[in-house]
Amino acid sequence: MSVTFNKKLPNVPDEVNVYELSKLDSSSSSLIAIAKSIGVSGKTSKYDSDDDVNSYTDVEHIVQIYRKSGALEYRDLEKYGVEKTGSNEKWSISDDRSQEIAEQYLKKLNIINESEMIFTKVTHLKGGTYSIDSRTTEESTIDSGVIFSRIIDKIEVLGPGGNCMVNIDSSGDVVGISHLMRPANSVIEKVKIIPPETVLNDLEKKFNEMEREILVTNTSFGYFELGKSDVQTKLQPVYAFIYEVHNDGTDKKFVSVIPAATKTYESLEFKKRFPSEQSIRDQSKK
Amino acid sequence: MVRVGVEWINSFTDACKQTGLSYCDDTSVGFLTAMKSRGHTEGFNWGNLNAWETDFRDPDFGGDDTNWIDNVDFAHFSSHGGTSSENVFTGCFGIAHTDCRWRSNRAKFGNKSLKWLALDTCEGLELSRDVVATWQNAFHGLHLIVAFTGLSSDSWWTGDRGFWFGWNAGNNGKIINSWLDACYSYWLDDKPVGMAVGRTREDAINRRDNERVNSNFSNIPNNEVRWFAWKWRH
Repeated sequence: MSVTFNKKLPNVPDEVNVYELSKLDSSSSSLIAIAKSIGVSGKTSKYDSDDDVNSYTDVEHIVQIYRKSGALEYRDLEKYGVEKTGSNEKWSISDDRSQEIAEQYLKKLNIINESEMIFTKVTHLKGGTYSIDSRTTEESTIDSGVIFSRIIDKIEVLGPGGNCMVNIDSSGDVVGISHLMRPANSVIEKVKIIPPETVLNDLEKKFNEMEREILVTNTSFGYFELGKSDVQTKLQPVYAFIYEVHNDGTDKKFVSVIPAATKTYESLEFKKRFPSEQSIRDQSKK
Repeated sequence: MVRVGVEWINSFTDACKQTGLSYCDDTSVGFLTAMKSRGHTEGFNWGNLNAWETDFRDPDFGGDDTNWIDNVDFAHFSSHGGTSSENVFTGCFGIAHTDCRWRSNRAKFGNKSLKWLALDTCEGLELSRDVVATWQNAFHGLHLIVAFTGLSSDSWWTGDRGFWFGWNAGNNGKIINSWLDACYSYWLDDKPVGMAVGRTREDAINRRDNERVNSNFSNIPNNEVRWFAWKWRH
């Protein structure tokens, strides 16, 4: 059994602000306004709503807002994630050009607070094919996914929320957007930060009880923003640890998110979404 | 409408010892819940000690998949998994019924019903191995597999991915795009992959990029599969 840290915790401030988060506007009028600025309009367009999502679609596009979080998604239904076949053109859009296209598009849509947004990286949707007859593998690039994240008071925002991806196809067209950055408008108060040594000691105790090989691949301090399924009203500081547990060829990745302030305002982890009670399976039945 | 079956394991007996997991019920049952909300039907929901390796193993190898995984259209499995250097995928179960582990070289999917298989485990479509060698002999009418390359996360914050995958795919969204959208995590470095087969290169790419539950793509017998096409975000 051993615990290895691949990355040390960064220096942390003595105290940070806790913010009140505003709910992103998920109303039909807001959705339709965004959809129209993306270019989704016309006689065939329609608005739909269920418990989870409000959506606006036409034949070729969908724009949807997740009701609990306000997360926004846009997809070009014909082009998003689709490789152009029958063309010998190679991917020719540089990462710098992808970033430029994405930034211009977000500015036009006006859904980003530019003072908080930072460019993070360009990802690519890659395609692969294999021919059994010729035993050849080919790879291609289908899109670039430009990721932006968020920094508030010089502190990065961690978690499944607090970021935005813009997808650009081989023609340079924006074919997808995924955005979730709840507005942080007002400071509730300043809170003192628990020293990292205290948190690390507790974590090492937990790891030691697991009696496994553990590799901590990432350790971070930052604000934490929940994902598209969740309501969140406060932006609080956390320590986040991503670690791998190794066991006889079947490894797994886990994450531990620990409130970093001496006072916690809102839970960052809730009950299971879909627990399932199981009665004993009858072995005689197929 | 399609029939859906899910199997998931959070708890492992001493005989099948593995690190305990916490959110495999959330991912698999979330998927089933979302599919049912879209009008699809439940074939089965087996968790922990009720999930058996023989449900995945083909009768040619002594298993019973004809009554379970290959008796539904869409199957979802959440547990530990890994792909060996011999290009064999192993899925882990909580009890030995009759083994603790199911292996991809004991699978023949689609010779009855299965069209789409989701593996919410680590390394289900492991791109650092030979992904075609791992799965080529499992496609007997199966259309596509969605899974992860590298390690996937077991966490509350990504436990909703099964629900959103089913919510989109069950609403006739493109299946592989729905998986990549629901499962990609920049924060946790979760890398989902989807792989389809075809008779030609264009056919495989078309199925990979455009297949939906209502697409009516034909089943391809194993000896007529000539091309594989996969995609992932890197």
